[in-house]
Amino acid sequence: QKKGAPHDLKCITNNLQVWDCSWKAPSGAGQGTVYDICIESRSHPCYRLNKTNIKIPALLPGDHEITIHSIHDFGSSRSKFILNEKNVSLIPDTPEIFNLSADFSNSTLYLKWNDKGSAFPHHSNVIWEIKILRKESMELVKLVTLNTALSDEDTVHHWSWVSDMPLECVTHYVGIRCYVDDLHFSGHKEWSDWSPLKNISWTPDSQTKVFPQDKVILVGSDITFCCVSQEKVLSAQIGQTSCPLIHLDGENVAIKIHNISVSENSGTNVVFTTEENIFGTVIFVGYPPDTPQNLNCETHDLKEIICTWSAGRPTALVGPRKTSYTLFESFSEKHVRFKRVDVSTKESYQLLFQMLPNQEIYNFTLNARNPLGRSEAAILVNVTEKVYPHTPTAFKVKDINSTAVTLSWHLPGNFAKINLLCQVEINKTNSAQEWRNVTIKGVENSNYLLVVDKLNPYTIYTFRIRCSTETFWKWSKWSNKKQHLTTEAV
Amino acid sequence: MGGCSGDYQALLGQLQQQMALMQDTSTLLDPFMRLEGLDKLRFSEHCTERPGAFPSDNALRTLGRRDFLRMLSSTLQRVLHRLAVLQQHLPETQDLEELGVARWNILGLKNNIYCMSQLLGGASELAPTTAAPGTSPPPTPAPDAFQSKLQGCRFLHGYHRFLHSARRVFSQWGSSPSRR
Amino acid sequence: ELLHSCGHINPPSAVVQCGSNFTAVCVVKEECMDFFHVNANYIYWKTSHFTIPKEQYTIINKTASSVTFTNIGLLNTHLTCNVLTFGQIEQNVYGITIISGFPPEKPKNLDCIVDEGKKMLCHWDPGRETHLETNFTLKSEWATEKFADCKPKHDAPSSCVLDYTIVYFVNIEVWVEAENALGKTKSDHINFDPVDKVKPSAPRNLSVSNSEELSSILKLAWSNPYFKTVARLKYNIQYRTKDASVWSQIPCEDTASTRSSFTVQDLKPFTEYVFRIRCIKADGKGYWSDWSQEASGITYEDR
Repeated sequence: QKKGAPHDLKCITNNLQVWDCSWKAPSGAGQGTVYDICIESRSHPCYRLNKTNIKIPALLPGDHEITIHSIHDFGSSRSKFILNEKNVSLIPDTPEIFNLSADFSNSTLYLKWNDKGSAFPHHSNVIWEIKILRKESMELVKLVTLNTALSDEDTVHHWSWVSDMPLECVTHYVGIRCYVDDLHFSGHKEWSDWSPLKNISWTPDSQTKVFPQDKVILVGSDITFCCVSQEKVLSAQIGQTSCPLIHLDGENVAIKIHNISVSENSGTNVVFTTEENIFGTVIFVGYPPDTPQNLNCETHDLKEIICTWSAGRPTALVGPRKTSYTLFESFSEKHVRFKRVDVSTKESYQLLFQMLPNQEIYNFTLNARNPLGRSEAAILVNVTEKVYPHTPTAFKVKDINSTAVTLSWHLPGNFAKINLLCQVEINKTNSAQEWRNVTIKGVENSNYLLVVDKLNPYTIYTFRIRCSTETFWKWSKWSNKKQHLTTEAV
Repeated sequence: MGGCSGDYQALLGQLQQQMALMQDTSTLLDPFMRLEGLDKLRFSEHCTERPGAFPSDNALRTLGRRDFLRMLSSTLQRVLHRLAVLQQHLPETQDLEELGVARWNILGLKNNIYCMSQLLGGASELAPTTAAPGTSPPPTPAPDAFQSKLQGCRFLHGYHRFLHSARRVFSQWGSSPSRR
Repeated sequence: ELLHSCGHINPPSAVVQCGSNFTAVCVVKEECMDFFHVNANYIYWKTSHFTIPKEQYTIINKTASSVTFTNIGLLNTHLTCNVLTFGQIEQNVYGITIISGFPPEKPKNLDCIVDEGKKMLCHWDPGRETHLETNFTLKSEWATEKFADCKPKHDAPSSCVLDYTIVYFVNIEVWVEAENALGKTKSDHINFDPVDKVKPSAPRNLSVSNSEELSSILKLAWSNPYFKTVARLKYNIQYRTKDASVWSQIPCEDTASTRSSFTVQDLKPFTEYVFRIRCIKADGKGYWSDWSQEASGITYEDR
């Protein structure tokens, strides 16, 4: 291409719909130069303008002859070019972050940008690259690529990132660029420019200096603590262990902890020391709740269901961070929440669930939850098959005749709809013990009578009784023993 | 209610012995720091009493006996309240047994202060305002956990110092109830 | 009730003081009288299986008869009112329980002990057996605090462990109240400082070492109980030769102050001695601790 004529014609496109072509002016062309650009076989073949670039609608695939005729003071010159999509570079517009926000409490950055899909003729694949830089020295800490597809309209995309470094202690910068990977476009594709960087920094609002504050994390995690300080930080410690300082901007520093170990009940102190002061935070390191163990539900009286369980592995989290338990019954959709007072011993837990009229089958789910996670255990119970009666009380023996007595006792419970299985233990001095089982219809008022016959007259017997249900689950405890002298035969 | 001892010397002796025990940081501050993971060597310099948290040595020495007893009683009442708040922020109630013992000792000290006031003839406003050991104040929003620990140990440091100062004042009390 | 009772007795139940007199009145219902063709004369009284002589009966009216007991002894029995009907069949009308006993005596010798590291236990002499269910309540208070009542356990009715933290150097007032169906009384109040009622824990880790220079001495060392931080202590140190059965004791004036070691002198050379030690508050108030575990050592050979 002759320098005396227009030369080095280059075309790029940002959106596959418009080509932005530019050329070099003929050597010596002055300000007043005018150009006639004619595109062969176009409905609007020629354009006249006085600058060295032109935006033309995208040309169809294939070769197109373009003539650029420059008219300048000392004459004119003409150049012909063959323009083909292949020679065109697709360089998307520089994307723009229209919103960057942060949730400092969990060190999370939130990014929103618009893909300006409406500018593109069809659904092209787009690759986004997001970079996160830290500190004034712009250290690259994160580079991530995302794939999306353009649609007919502008789409706002969201992306979030949890920083390993608390956002309070160092400014974070975010940039984004894109690459339109259009399958139809045969030309050369390039990344857009990086968007202008947006940054997030924290404005100190309290004397709090160390971050994160009072966090709860899993044993074995890696975590970074940092300290915002105007004075030089001399040392940092986690618990009793000193840690190497990572210098951030100004006097701010950080420490990185790997595979953190479980903390005491009061948490592990993380302390940064300056000449004059100490700044600190507490980290609570523990476990999510174990699956509740040995979940069992039974009833003493068919009025109240007692569910017991054990916690399993201790979580090392106490106080406000301790495990909370909720017992949920799916048929009735009722639930009961565990309160500390309900526990009987430190290891075993217990909850009471009031039985519901006309419901025998209960589908319980016990949910355990703490800041590190949740677990659950389930049990399906037919309570009439899980009766563990109270100890029989007010146990009395009354004569019927010299060989028969009436036993009476009180057994609290709503057993009217079931049969009880009771066992009488009969002890006669100097002779073998005898047990008699008997099935008794349950009654409303909890008072029961039973005739025991085939006894010897004028003989000292010791009676006691215990009960269960016909569908056996557990015997109650034995009642008190009652000694009784049968009357003399008449 | 139970009778106060009318024996000035005995009562003064009890007050001094009580304070001799209670001023010892091993009774409360040290176990608190251990529980909260505040290594004594490292944190002592940062665990100093906040000015104004407790009456200064000088303030205690310049008061007359009745005002001194009144100051003692009201300060101890405030301590009881603060210990209840401290208890709330501890991980589990049974973790710091010494806190419960300290609360009882403070109630005992207030009891003796009341008796001494009666003996000196000025007890009316020190009438037993029992803060039963179990009563707890309305929960206050805790600063972050570390600040809460530091504030706790600064407060307890002041508490032991205050008792030390008060004991010194008692040691300068004369041998009879009437003299200064 | 399975069957309607034919009458009733006044009083419905009775707790009576031993040695006193007691009268019960049985009133039989008119319809029963008519049904059984009986009247008050047919009434006779029984205690358990023993019929009471008629001399003790008084006919009050057609339907009522009373029985009187004088100088009642110890009783815990059923008193029944019965009538003989038709062919001399015994028909029970009503029955009551009679218990006799004594009102509680004023509890005496109230005292308390603070086993170091444990709660304070107070005990008293409840006085004579009342033969009745008698409730004792240990009361305690400061000048500014009233503490919860202490209820003795069933198996130890004349002592009680105070459930709250004991505070030394604060005088506490304690007394016992006793009550049963026949009366109520209380002990004298005692007012003391719990520090004067302590039984310290026994000294621990008693060790004995000899001296090469002096074959007549052995050096003792031990760990004091925590109570040492509260009050000064004094000690009894006893020793005997290994085979002896009688203990010798170091003069009290030599062990009258808090210490954790002592050198015993004037011992026979090359002889094994056994030692034990106990402690008490230096002013002698409170109780001696138990003896420490014994420890022994051998004096050095004579040169």
